[in-house]
Amino acid sequence: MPTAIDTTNLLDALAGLAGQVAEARPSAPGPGDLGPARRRRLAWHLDDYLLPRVRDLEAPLVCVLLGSTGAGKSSLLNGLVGASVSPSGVVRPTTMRPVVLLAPGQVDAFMAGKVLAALADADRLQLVVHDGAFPEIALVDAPDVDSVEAENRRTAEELLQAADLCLFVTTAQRYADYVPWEFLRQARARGVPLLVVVNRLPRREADQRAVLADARRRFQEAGLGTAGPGGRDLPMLGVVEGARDPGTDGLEASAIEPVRRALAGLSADTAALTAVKAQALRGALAGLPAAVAEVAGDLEADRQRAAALRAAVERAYAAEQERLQDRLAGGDFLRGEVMRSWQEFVGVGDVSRWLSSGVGRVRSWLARQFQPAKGAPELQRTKEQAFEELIGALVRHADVAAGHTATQWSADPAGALLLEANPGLWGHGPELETEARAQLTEWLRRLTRVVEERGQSRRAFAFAASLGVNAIGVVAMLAVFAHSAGLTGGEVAIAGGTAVLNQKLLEALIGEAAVADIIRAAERDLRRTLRSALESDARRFLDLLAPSGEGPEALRAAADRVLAEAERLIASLGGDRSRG
Amino acid sequence: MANRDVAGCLEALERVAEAAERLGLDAGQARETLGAARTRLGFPGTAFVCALAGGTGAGKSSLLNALAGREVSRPGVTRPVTAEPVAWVPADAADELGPLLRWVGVDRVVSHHDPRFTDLCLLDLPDYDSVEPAHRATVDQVLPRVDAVCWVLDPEKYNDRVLHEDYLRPLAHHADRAVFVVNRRDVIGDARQVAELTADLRRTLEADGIRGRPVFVVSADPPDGAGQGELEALRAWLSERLQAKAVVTERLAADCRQRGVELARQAGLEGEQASRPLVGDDARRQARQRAVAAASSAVDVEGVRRACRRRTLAEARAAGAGRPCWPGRAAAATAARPRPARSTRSPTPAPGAAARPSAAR
Repeated sequence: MPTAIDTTNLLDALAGLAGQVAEARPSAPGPGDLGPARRRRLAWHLDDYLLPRVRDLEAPLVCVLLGSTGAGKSSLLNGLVGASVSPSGVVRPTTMRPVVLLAPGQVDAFMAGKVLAALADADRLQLVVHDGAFPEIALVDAPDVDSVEAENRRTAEELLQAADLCLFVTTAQRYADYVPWEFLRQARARGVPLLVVVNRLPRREADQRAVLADARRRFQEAGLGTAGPGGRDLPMLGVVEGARDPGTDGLEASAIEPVRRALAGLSADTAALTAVKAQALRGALAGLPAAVAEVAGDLEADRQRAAALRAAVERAYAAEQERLQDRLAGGDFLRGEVMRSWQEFVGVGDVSRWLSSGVGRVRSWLARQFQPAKGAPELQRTKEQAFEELIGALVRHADVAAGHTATQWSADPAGALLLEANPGLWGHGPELETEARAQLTEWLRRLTRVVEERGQSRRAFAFAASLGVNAIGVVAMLAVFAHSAGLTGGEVAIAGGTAVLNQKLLEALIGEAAVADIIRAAERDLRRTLRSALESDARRFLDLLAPSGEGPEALRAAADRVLAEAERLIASLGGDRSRG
Repeated sequence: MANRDVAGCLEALERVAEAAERLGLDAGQARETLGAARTRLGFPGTAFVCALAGGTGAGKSSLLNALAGREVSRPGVTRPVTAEPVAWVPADAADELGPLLRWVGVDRVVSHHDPRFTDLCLLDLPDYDSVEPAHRATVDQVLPRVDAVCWVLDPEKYNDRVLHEDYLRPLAHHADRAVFVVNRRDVIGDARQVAELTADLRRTLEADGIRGRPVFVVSADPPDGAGQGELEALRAWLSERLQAKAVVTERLAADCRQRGVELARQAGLEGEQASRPLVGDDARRQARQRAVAAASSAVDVEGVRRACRRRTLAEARAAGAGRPCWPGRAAAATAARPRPARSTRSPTPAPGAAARPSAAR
């Protein structure tokens, strides 16, 4: 007996593939994209069917009753068992929670197989044990595929992916409906054997024949002509309208006798059961490359789209980053309020007077100006205003960058969807101001510390210390701004003498040679700080596009491994069989 | 009277479309509706078109035949049956209706002499839910041009997603001219089950935004021994309750209203927002304050004043004035004026000339 088959490698490969599929979440799915649904189906197919079935070929055969709302799936099930196990009714849709019908003593085998584990875990399955059920067959009454209840359709899709055998129930009204045919195409893609029941046939025999013949033609045209168990012609069983047995809330036993006989025959024949399971398994493995190729293709397309969206973010933010630096270099920050406050503080009327004088006189002037208590508010205000202007500019540029990015994204369906979910992306981030303020404060602290450290080696620092740390910081900060703006002594008029004044102040504090170095380094630091603030604003976009999983190549490789292991296994089985 | 009202609607929609286009919105659909409405009003006669719409196998053709009392459209057991719409029109109005039906997209016409349906043209449509995509395309092309719709539902199919999500919800604004017919009453069961089904149908319709519409449960083609249900009541409703003129004008008005609402929604004028201006008073005030603050911070007022003072002083000295006493503001105002005024009007300004323009003012 083939009980000694070693499926470890195949199971391992399947688990690897399932892991890859679970990770292959699209980061930017477009509206109406089929990708997410395809990936979901493949995941179900692996978790709910392939893994449990490979793990245990002996577990009960899962036969799913699938069809339209009102096709009579529940009535058929009740009729087959001869008891009301799934409520039927005139109100559509009737069945919301799938009923799993098992023969006595099969529950453990069914649960151990972990078939439909996800549904069972979520308590979305109703397990019913009944004497009338078919041993070795778990009959699952699925919700409809086409009613207004969207959840039903998803459950039906999941059940189809988990089936060893699909009992497709349609009616004389329904057999040409569009939606169920989408399901049949999925059934064909995953190679599950089919049985078809055409319910509610008209009473006239000629009409019945016409309907069944027309239905058969449609199945043949769809490539399902030989989708029956064992690769035989598709069995198509007709049930006449109105043949109901009120006692069982189901179809009359005589009307559905062919269906019952088909299932009972299967249930009693171990070889036939195994053959159906093997057929479904073979079909599933054969359908796997196409399914994985689709999902990998979707993932690839998703990555490309995400890359395009990401490029839009990077372009927009890089452009604004440059503009912001230009503005810094343009000296904008030294005009207006900052300058006025600073001039009030130092008494700018005196500036030109001592510009030409030596450092010694500057120092004595400074001693007068920087009385620790005097001018503290102006000093504070100067700093605040400088920060305010910088942050204001940063926010405006971030706003423009976000706006440009969002405009570009909105032209892409997937981008538009992301924007819809995150309307805040049309402007700068809500945290930008506070974060930028914190970073600038940190920058100023660093700068002040450098000036202090350099100053300590000098005699003059005793004096510097008397000015107060705040004053040193603001002096250095304004010097950096002036330097960024490329101001020189010749442009004193533009900056109101500040550049030169500050240079002189700093020289007085820490010596001429060090000043240029410090200012250059601090300026680089400031640019870095602003850039990182903009980058963290851009990250709001980029985080949405974070790629998940290892990518399409890994997905394909995992599928190849599954197929290789499956082939090896089949080859070894073939060897067994020839020996036996 | 009614036509004048519709004219008002059309004008209003025209204005809405213009406003929307000024905002850069796409008013193409509104324009299309305007064109279609004008075309519809241009057709002569009082008769109107009511379409029988439903899924494949719902029994649209059988219902038309039952209402007519003879075979107008051929029903069948294999699905889907009707591929081309068939119109059943009063013989007196047949000539008049010809152009209208061609515009709607109907070529096959069967005329009748039934005195109960003198203004009503019934249309048997193909299905919208079968594997034949062409059928659905025909329905989608015809439906927007008909005046009223009789939805024919099958007991199996009355809660199908396609029916509710693709048709009833988007067409809810035409519900006032819709009637719902559940066919094949014979397969539903007893009166209690019929009541159960209609109650459930009404619930789903309400979820679609459709309330208080008549629901008739009929058997268009009953098996031997079963009755036709409420077929007679449906016939009476169709011939008496649907008033031709009101149907057409109300339909066009509803179309206009719907397009207007859609454009308003696109412009962000929905719900509470609709009654508010695009920019609120507070936001406007804040924006103004910010602009003024930015402008004043860009101008160094004190610096300008000093420059003006210097310039005035220099000019006054050049003109031979002594040390002037400072009429501060006047001097500043003068200096701020453009140069040419001085050179053309007074080549040799007298002492105190600098103050003159402002004194003249």
